[in-house]
Amino acid sequence: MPIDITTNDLSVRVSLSEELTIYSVIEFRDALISHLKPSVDISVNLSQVTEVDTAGLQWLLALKAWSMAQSVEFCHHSKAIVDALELSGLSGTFDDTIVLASEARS
Amino acid sequence: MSATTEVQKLFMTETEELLLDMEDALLSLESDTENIELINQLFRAMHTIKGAAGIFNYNAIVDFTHPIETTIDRVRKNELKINSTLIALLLKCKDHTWALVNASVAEDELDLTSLMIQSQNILAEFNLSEPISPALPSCPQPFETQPISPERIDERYTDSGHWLISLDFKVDALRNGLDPLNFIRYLQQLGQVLEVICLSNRLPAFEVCDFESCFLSYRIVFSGDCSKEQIEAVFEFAQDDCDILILPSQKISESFQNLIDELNPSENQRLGEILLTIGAITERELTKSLNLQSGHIPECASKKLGEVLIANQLVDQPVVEQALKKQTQAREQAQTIRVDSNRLGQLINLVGELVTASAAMRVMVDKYHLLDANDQVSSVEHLVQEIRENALQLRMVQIGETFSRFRRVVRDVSNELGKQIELTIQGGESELDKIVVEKINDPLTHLVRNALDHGIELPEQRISKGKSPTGHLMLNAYHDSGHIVIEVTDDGAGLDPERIRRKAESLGVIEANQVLSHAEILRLAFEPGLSTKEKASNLSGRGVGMDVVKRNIEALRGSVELDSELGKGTKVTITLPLTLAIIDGFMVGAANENYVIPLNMVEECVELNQGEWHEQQKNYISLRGELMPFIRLTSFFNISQTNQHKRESLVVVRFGRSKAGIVVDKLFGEQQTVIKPLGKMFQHLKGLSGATILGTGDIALILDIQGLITEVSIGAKKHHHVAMIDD
Repeated sequence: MPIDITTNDLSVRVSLSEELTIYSVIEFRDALISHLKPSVDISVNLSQVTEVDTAGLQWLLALKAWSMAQSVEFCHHSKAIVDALELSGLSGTFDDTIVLASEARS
Repeated sequence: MSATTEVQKLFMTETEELLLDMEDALLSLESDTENIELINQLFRAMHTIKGAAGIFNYNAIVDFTHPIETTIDRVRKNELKINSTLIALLLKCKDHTWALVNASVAEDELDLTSLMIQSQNILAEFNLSEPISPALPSCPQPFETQPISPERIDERYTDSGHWLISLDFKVDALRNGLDPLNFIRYLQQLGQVLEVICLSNRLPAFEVCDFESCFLSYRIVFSGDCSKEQIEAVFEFAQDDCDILILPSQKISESFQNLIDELNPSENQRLGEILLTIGAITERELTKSLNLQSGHIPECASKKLGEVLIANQLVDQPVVEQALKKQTQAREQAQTIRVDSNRLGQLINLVGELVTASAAMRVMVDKYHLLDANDQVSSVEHLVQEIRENALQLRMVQIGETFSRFRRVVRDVSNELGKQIELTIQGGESELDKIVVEKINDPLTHLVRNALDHGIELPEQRISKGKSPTGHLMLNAYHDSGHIVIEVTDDGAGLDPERIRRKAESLGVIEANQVLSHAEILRLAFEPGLSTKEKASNLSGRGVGMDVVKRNIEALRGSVELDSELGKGTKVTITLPLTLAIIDGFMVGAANENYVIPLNMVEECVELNQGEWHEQQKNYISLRGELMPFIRLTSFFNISQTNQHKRESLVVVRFGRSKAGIVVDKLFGEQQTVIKPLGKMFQHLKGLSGATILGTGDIALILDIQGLITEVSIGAKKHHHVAMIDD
């Protein structure tokens, strides 16, 4: 399963792997919807993502938009994610976490 | 007063043209107040006149035109609304400018001083006219795009020219296998992607978002050494799934303008072609815009290409303006060369001589049977004919300009008299000799003023007669068998035949018991002294009667007819020859004299058998059942017949609606004919309009067919005898 979700009362940890593309985004959305509740912290680990396309970017942006009131943390950006964000001029949007990711890698 | 120099003359003619343009533009603006091109025309006129006057140090003109130019500029910038008051005021300014120009060139200090006081008064009216209205918002953009401003980005990237690429993907873009990210990657290879802005505001909430649809739009700042066409090629596959805009930065936009400046467009290059040549738009954008223009979207249809391009952000406004300017320049350069009309006159005289000389050559060749030279002479003749046609064409001008001058007359007169009058102009593109145009202006003015003043009634009168309150005046021109026909038609009161008759009787023009047809009574209106309106106004009836109109037109070898129905309206038809110089003639002979009939009037030629002629008093001939009057040239000109037993021919001529027969002894055939006016002594001769020199050196008289027909009709009416011929 390219999406792995582990939950407890206060937090949801999501780990994505392989493709974050048009072929997987609907599946990822459906898997996550039931966990999207107020007052939970969500963290999304992107370290295993090898391929991102625009549909995937939309997925990330939409999740981020949902999280405006909540706390969602994207962490461990893979190279594919960083490249895609940079290409789209979205690095700034996910700014803090990218720094984290690069720190984590080094 | 000093003599006017050549340069001053040029200044006068140019100013006059500009002012006429300005008047045209103002009159058109009355119905089309939003037309920016017309406002630009006003601006150009004032601006150019101001500049030219400055060169001559005509400060009175400069001082007057400068504030007007400023005012028009405010209109251009949407700070001031065009309305009828402003138009009326600007018309006044136009007239005043012309007065100033005349006084300045004539160096008439006294006149100038009083005019300058007037200038102040007129300019004062501008300040009283309505206050500055707030600027109108610019028209809404037909495309739903995020507002993007190249200027903002320019501030950040001042170092080089760059492009702003706007990509709005459609919903199905991703499903169709496109990935916007790939385009950006490709752009990176092509040049430098300076900045990417991803717009995600269309993105639905996470829970309900269909991530397979595309909701993102991109704005990309791109710099690279490539053309718009090349950039567009990157997105070639995406065209169906993406709205693509490629905008130049200020810098590139400027470079476009420079490119246009350097361009030498040929005369007929279209706006789209110019923009395409310099790469400001791509072929696809042009096709799309042209489709939009001719298409079904109401807001884009009937717009000009430039407007469509700007509205859809395909090109910047300054670039379009520059291109349009260049286009106009090219057209002007290509279309007109100013030539002294005297030189044209000389050229046509020379061509006339050439025609005569080549006819002489033909005579020699025929006389000595120089068969070897035949081909050469034929080709020379052919060339001469072409030169003749071209030379005459040079003097041909469209009558439309003359017609459109009456728009002002109609406007002023209807205001002055409190009448509502609409002017319709038709056939303005009909061409005729410039000399004829100049000479027809006065009679035409008289007819138009007559129609406005006496013809069309006041709105109340019209309503009480069951007509629409707005009167209609129509100027129409068309070509008909080598002539131009000009019609002045109004739907006014019409002429009262009874009144004309009474007046004519009181003046002794006709006898009290004389029987006259309707048409004949109307024709009396052209007799001297018959101005039917009892009280003369300052518009018409200034001593110039219809008789003068008729005389002027007949001096041009034309004719004028009047048709009127009481209460319904009047129609005056003027028929004029297209040119006064050279015609195609048909040469005939009668008793050893040569005569020329204008070829375009000749309908047919029929042989007459001597044996069938018995009576002397026959004036009508029946040709295949059609009755027409005829004359025998020999008897008309009282030439004694030397040879009684000869074959005669009947030449059937047509003028307008009337036909007549002319009996001649010999038919010679076609002949290019240079018309030489008859000397003053012979100008009153009936039936002759001029003479021409033949190749043999002999002289042939040119028959005035119209005069002849009139003579023949009158003569024939007195003796109703009909001769029958069968053929």
